Amino acid sequence: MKSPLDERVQRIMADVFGVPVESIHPDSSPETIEGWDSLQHLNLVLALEQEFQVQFTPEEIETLVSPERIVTSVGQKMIVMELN
Amino acid sequence: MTASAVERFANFDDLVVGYTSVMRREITAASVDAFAQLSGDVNPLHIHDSFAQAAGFSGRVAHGALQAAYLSCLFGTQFPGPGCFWARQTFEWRMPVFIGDVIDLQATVKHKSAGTRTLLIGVEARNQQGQLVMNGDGMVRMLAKVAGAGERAGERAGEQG
Repeated sequence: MKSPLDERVQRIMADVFGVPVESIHPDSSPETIEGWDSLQHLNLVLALEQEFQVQFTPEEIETLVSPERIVTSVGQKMIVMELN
Repeated sequence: MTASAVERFANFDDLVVGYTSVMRREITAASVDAFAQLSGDVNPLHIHDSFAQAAGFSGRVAHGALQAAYLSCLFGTQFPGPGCFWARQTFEWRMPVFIGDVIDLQATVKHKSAGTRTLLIGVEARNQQGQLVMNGDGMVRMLAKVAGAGERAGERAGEQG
């Protein structure tokens, strides 16, 4: 069962890549989503930062290559934000 | 390129969400004519008052893209300034702009992404009556100065000079 965070990430990715939400799977990647190139990856990062009010480091940006990894990264940042 | 020009890279760290910059431009016949010649857009709507009036306007309508050109000047020279790369922009032209109008172009940082060195910028243009004539959203990437590039450019300039 998908969490609200999973669904938010899925929706953002669908919006950025212009694909149906249903086509975004936990293991979707630049290899499986047509149009997920470097520019779209930038757009994805910006959309995630705005949606969740977080900032990613250059190192973290390179790891955001699947919904699963994005959810993990965003989730960790949200926990840190709550603790602060 | 002189070494001093290379050193003038805009400082990404100085730019924060909410930062706003304004550039004012008067829309002159000369600027509209020059843009028509440069772009090749000699649509008579922009060139002849009679044609514009026949279409229901009070006079020649300035190219919407002329505002885009001024926005390019704003981004490239004033804010963020040298070293920025204009990557994306949307435009909604909401009202016609005429010869003699004075336009204030305002750019405001909406989001700053440190990891990507990217700014999302909201843009508005208002005429002398305060009416919104254009708005849009842009994305600007801030290039970083390459170590040693300034010295190499300066050396080349010296060799040529």
